[in-house]
Amino acid sequence: MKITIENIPVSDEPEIILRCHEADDSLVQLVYAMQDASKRIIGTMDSQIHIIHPKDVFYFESVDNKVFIYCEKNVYESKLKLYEIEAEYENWDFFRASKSTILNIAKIKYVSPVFYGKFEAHLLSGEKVFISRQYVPVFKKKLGL
Amino acid sequence: MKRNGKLICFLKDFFAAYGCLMAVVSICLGISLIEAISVLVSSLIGIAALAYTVLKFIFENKHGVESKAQAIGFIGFLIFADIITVLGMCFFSPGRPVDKSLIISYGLIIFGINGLVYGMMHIDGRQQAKRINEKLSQYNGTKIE
Repeated sequence: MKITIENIPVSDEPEIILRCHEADDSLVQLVYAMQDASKRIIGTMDSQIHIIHPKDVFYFESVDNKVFIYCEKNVYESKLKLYEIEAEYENWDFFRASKSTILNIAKIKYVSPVFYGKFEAHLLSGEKVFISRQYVPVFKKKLGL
Repeated sequence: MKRNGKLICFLKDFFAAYGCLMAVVSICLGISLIEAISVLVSSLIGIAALAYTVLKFIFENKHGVESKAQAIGFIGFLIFADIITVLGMCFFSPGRPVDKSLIISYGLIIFGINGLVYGMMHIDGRQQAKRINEKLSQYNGTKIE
């Protein structure tokens, strides 16, 4: 892909024009990535507010009506509901892995079967998260399978 | 979830299944102009409800439990559900088998089918995991950073 960057006068508004034959999935993802580049998640830990980049999140989990954000080392609490996070980040690498978990595909090292169509996702952090049978098609669709 | 919570959920499911089955049986018997539910039918409803509850329990998401422990629990409870069904057939079924060899045959067939289904699911799971892992490495290799 050819990338051209043009210098424009200060008075002009910056603009991105994509010239392509057909808008495929990778291009759509690129558009979303550009649109959402500034998106951040707010999490709290020890009464302190932290701004987290979605790419740093391994997974979101709902426990006892509270939503937690799991990063490599820290766990933050989010004020958002799981369904809100799911809707907000559906164009990112996140997908619903079970009723209580939203997982970041980019943080999955590999998956292994457990039983009855269920899978276990082995994350880069060494943690293991289950992917429920009913959400496996969502995961596959996200991967393009 | 704590043990007490699990027990309460288990009992709730059992009574819900028992109530539903009782309602269905009552309607069926009412249509057949039978006015009373016998102890035998009532016991069969109880066994069916118990088998259903045990099966539902094993297919639920066991968060925080290791995959091996889940698999052992799954197989254990599946066998337990089968035993309930076989015992129900032996002691409460109207045309109950009295021949020991027939009961053993029932048991062997049930366990055989379960084993076969579980084996097929395991093979299928491994194949699916292989495909997912291949796609996962492609996805994470080509995705837009």
